[in-house]
Amino acid sequence: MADDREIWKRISQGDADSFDAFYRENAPRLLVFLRQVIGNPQAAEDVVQETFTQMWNRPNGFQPERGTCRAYLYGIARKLAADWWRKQGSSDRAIEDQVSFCQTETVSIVADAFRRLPEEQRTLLWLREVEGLSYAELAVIQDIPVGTVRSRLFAAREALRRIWLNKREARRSGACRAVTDKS
Amino acid sequence: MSSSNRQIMKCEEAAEFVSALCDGESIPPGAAGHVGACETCQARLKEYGEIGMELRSLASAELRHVAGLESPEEVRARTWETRQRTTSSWWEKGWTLLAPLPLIVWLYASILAGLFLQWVGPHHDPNFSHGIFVPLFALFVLWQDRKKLKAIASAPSWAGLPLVVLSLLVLVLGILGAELFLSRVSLLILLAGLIILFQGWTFFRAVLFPWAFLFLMIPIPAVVFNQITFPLQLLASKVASAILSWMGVPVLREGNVIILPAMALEVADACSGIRSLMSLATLAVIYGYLIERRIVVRVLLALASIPIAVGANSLRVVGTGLLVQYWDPDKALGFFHEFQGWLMFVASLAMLYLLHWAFRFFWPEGGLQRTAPSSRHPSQPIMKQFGRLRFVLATGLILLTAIFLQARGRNEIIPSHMPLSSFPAQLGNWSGRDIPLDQDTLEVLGPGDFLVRGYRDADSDLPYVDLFLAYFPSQRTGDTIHSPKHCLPGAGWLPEENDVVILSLPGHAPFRANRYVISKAGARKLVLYWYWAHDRGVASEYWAKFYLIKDAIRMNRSDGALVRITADMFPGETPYSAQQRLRPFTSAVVPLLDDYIPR
Repeated sequence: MADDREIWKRISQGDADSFDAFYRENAPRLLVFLRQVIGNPQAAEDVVQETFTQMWNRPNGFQPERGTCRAYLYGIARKLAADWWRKQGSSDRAIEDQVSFCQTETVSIVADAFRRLPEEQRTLLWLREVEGLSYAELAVIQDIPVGTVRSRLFAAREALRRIWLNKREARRSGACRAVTDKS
Repeated sequence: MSSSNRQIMKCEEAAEFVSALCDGESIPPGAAGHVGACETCQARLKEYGEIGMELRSLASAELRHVAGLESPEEVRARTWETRQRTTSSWWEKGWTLLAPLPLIVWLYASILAGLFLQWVGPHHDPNFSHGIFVPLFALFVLWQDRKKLKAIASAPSWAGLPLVVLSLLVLVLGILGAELFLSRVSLLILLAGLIILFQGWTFFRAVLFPWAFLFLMIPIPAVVFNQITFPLQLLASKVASAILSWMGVPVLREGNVIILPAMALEVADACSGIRSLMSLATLAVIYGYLIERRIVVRVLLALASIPIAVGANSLRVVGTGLLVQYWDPDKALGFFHEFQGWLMFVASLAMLYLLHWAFRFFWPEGGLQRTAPSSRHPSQPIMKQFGRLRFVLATGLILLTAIFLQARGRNEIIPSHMPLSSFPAQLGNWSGRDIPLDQDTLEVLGPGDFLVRGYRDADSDLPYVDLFLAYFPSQRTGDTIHSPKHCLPGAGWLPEENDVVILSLPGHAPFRANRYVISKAGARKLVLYWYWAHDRGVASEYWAKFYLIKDAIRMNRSDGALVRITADMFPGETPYSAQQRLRPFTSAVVPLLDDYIPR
């Protein structure tokens, strides 16, 4: 498997095969990430396409010394997702679906709680926990200092933990209520 | 109590480090010591870990759900289809584009019929005989792209509505203003508006090429077209005469007239531009689309059609010249002339191919074409509910325009006028003698009434003054006045000076006219010409076009005329003194114009 520089060199030279391979490898994971961040599967798919299009059209934006190709890809996706939310005009950017506890017993409580987090916290947590991006890469993606990454990650984890604990408690007590309220 | 408070304080302080520890980051020894000894912090660390595991489990499940058993392409195709089913009502799909079709056909029936006749009718325009192939190729491109287009989700945009309104206004202006180009172009603007209104910008971007290609089917107004193609024809004539001369054929070129010992070539077409230009440009675009994938090269190929058209035209004239010189002058006409036309078109194609080969040789393609996966804008679900409103508005506007135009549908007023042949042959002391126009020239000039007459002052030794009057009772069908700006150089008379002067003549308000000093083989002539319609004289052909539209709307008339007075100049005579010398003649002509060119 070629390293990032080699992959990027090929892509920036217009090697569609390399780009296609990169797309095949990363598109599904990116789609999963965006589905979690945006909450709207169709819009998430749009943003995936837009992300790869931007990457292909502007191959000079990647700087290997600042992170991996994948981190660069997720950085573009994050910006586009933020744009999408801005266009929606929503202030807290939480995913609001009218799903109740009783209807989502098969769904992980964490997954349900995760959707209640603000968009920025969802992004940060997912990129760290699932995609394994380093603090340095997250700092570049979010355009914040590394120290701020640490404190925001903590804030996100703590917020998720509290929601999770509340929901777990509610499920144990058998409560069946709508969860559209922001816990 | 105090101990317990200190413990909580420390946990809160250490919590951020617990999170960092969870990420495998190093933490300060003090924080590490606390976490190692604190059950609360260890529980928090465990919970953070559980949360992380749950998130990764969720990611795995999602990944399996999204792409587990299918390729990304299949996933995309499936979700596109799903999305189409879920987000698009029939109002927003093809039906919305097809439903107004009968209305559009009704609205544009006469315009489309006229366009069709201009392409292939008995009196078709040779500059645009390729037009019939343009919509067919556009349809072919749409058919080729049908899968891609089908996969694009509807994202209707209200931005299309202003375009629809604009197109209908342009149509009304075009029809009432007797301006064919505007009427025809309005159809393309309407199509763009409807596509954006019902399908959105993404869809429009996807059909941008076939849509823009349709512009090649619409004849460009002569006033603009000749401006572009005439200099190219002149260049072709220059190149051809230089080649013929180099090949030992005695040749004299006067503008676009190539005079050989046996005959003169291109006389009738002297003031026309290169006719094959548009056909070749269209062919170059088609060729580029089918054969080449790089957009830059496609554009270069389309632009290359200009020098290729000049080259091919030069070769055609050279071939004709050689046939005339070494075989039979009759070969310049009839079958051989037509055959040469086809031959040169094939030669043009060959040149295009060679150029493309050169591009590919010196500039090979770096891998596959840069086409990323298609991008689509986020859907706008809020817009869906307005689908019917959009449909009703668009069809309502089209219907209203059609009804308005039907209600205003009135036959153009063609005013009766005295034939120009009855224009007085005696103007004071000036006696005139008609100069007949040959059939070829009349065909080039188009349907109108023409007078060419040489006048001479019997009481003086002044040279002849030529009066040319061209009156067009209707310019609604696209027939328009040929500008002397092209016809004079086309006949070999090169402009030395030109300016616009104000003619202040007795009995008429002052008006502007063009004054040219032209020369050929040492002889100089002064030319005064202006456009005349409804007792108004203007120098600029563009202003003449503007007034044509205005008068057509205001008076339902599109008649107009060109008045040209030409006189030999004496050696050393200034344009001003020559103009002053012509003043008595001009003063005699202008008051009579309204009798022959209706007010």
